[in-house]
Amino acid sequence: MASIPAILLKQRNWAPYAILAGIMVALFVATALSSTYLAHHLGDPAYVTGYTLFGFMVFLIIFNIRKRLSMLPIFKVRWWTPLHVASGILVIALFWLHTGTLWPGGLYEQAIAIIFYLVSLSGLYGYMVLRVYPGWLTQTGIEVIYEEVPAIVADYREEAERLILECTKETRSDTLARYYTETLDWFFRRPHFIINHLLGGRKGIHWVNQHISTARRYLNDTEREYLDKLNDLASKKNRIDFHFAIQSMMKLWLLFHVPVSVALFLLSLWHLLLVNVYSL
Amino acid sequence: MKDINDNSHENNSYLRPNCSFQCGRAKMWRKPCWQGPDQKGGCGGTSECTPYRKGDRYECRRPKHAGGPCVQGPLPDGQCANTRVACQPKPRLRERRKQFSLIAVVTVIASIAALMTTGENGKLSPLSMDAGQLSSVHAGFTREEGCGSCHTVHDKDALSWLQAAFTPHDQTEGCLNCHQFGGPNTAPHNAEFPDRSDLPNPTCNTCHTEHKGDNFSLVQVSDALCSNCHQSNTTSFVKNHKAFPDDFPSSEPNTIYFNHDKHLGEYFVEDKWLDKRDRAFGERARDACVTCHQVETASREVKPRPYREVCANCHDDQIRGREFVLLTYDSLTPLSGLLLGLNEDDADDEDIGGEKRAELMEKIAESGFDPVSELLDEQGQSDFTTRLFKGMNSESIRNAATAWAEGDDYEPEGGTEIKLRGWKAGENANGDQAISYLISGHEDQVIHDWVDYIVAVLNSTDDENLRDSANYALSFLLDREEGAGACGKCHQAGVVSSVIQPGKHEIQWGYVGQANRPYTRYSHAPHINLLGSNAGCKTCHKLNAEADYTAYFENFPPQADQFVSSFSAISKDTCTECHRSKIARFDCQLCHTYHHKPGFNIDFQEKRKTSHE
Repeated sequence: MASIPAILLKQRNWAPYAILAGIMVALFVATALSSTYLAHHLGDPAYVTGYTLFGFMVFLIIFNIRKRLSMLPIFKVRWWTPLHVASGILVIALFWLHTGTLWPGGLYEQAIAIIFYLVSLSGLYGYMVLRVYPGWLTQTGIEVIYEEVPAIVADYREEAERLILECTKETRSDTLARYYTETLDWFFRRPHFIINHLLGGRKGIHWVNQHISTARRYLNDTEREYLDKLNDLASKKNRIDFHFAIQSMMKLWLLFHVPVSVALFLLSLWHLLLVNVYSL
Repeated sequence: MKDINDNSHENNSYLRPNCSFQCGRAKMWRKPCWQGPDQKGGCGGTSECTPYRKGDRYECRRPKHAGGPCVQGPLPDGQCANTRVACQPKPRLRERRKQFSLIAVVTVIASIAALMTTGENGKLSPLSMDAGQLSSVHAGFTREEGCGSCHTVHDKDALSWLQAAFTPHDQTEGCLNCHQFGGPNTAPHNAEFPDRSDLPNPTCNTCHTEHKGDNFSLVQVSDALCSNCHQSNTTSFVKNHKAFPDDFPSSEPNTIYFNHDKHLGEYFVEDKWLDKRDRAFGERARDACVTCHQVETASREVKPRPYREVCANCHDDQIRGREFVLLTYDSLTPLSGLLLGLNEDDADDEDIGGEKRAELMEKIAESGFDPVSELLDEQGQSDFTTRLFKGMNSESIRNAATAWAEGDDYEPEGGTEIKLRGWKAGENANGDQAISYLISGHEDQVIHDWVDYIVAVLNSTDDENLRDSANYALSFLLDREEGAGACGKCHQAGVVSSVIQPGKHEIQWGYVGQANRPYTRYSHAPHINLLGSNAGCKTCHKLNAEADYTAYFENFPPQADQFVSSFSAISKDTCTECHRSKIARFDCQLCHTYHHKPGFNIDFQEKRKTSHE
């Protein structure tokens, strides 16, 4: 499996991304220069940095709305995503430009800062997830629809149980059945080794191999044929587990990122109101 | 077992990814039903199909991917024969995200509302709008009133808030409740600059930012702000600040004549002077500036110590016992000439001066001191009558005048040999019969008053004759060599400057510092602490042996443009030896101030309360 930095840097065509990065850098420089100009000309630099920051935050929020309005031909999502990511990184820089510090002074401003950093960190984590995990999924060689995972897991379990019953009937021995009940049954119940899969580990397949090879020495030839089929099934199930873990994380990070972003937007809106009421 | 790569519609059910709920069985890792939950989250799979009535019969509608039509077929009443226990559908991640977002919205709004709830005295709690800790200088007076101390909209109703959100704010008025300046409050540098119509009128918030913590400096601003108006392209003191003037910092003439070069080069060094004066003091003073300068109170200037401490030892004898002659029996002095309103020529003229003198003496012989009072009254200077002749014995003067009128010498009781301080009549030090005054010492009040009188005449009359007379009297009194009391030796320039520019200058007897530079500041204290109080001074203050310091003081009246300091000018390079990157500050505000005479309104507490009412 390719290393995370290698995957992050892997890009067939850098030109559009370089242009996008250039635009974002230019926007930041323009904002910084405007703010410096205002600071040097008796103006209020927080005014320009604040409204620019808020504008970009609105743009970032719109991405979520855009995804819901898939019927509207407002650019393709494959453009919106890099724009969202680039804008997100720009917003971090704008936030520091606006506050002039990593950690502001007021209680309310500190609350905004905490939420902002949570949104930023979760966003960066999400970007990493979206860049790294799809490659890992491709490397499994199968495609799995996330919503189908429970049905597939149930299918595999039923198939495993069918094989055990068939083996028992055919060999009139319960060795494999007992071994299944004590070990592999747990494995087929639901997806396992989630964290290890997320980290790109192979603990799942090692677990399966270890238990299959342990059982093999106690089985006769017929039972071993069934054990091989079980092994094949467990390997497939492990890949489904991997898909489930990875796809879950690709969705779960949004479970944090989106609500916190909404909270940040509301807090920023209140901040904007307060600033206008009290000082601007 | 289903092939996971088989995505044909016959073998797959529609998974409804946009549906808010997922099958409860799937959530428990069992096989989900093909129908899935309904939109409201109810189980949709209590039966395996919904039979379809075709003619008078019901047909099974179980799809192929779910096993196809069942063997039993529908019940006669049209119900599916294969029923299941209803599952409990669970929200999908998308729905969870929506729920969490809603919780976030409610939490934020509730938190803001809860933290804004009315606190004590019906005032809004500032927690949900805490913009940061106030600076220590402002934290105190806002403690009672809170945000409302400065933000007038605080504690107002929602409509006022809404209006305030769309109305520009200027808190300057609030600031001025407490702060005051020596000129127009919002004008640049609190001063008028008629030649610069382009200058803005900044508000307090333009430069000062609050809510940055108790240690934040409200007064520290960026150098760039200065360059808004000061278009000198100065971006850095080190790089391109203009050079200091050639006479910096001693551009203004001294009010007291003190020749550093002479004292440090001769009087405190050469034995002939040290033996004559105070050797110990001289030896100390030649090495240590602090012998004469008050380093303990060093600030913008290191003022010289008082006369009594540093000058008197050597110079007191040159003052005490000197004689001030008002008139002799046969001649007028410039001072008595001024009393009679006679200019230099008339006073010296035998006919005019002699006649006036004889007339005055006759009157004094008749009625004592009264004629002199009348003369002062005529000049509008009656305030000086008692001051100028303080301690004078009117009877003694009258007797002297009587004796002189009869052609006799006057000898007071006890004889003229008695060296009393003050006024006396009779033989003076030169052997002349005179009315004279013996100086008591430095800061003799009578001499002071005579100088004040002359200056008062000069500043109050347009009579050329009288002005000539006064100028003659002043030059006589303040003569640097012969002047009575030897005042002029050191103080001539300080006194005469009040005459040259009346109204602008007061008589400056004492030390007056250098030019009043309202927008610059400097403190000797940290420099002395760092460089040392002795040799440290010489780092910046270097004697200039070639400077003609005395030229200015030798002229009467002194000409300001002739003044040259005993010290070489201090150049910018001297400062930049230390005030440069990574060593010491060199921003504009280190040496320059913005506000002119910043201060506080004494009644600011009342004013603030009134403005809030």
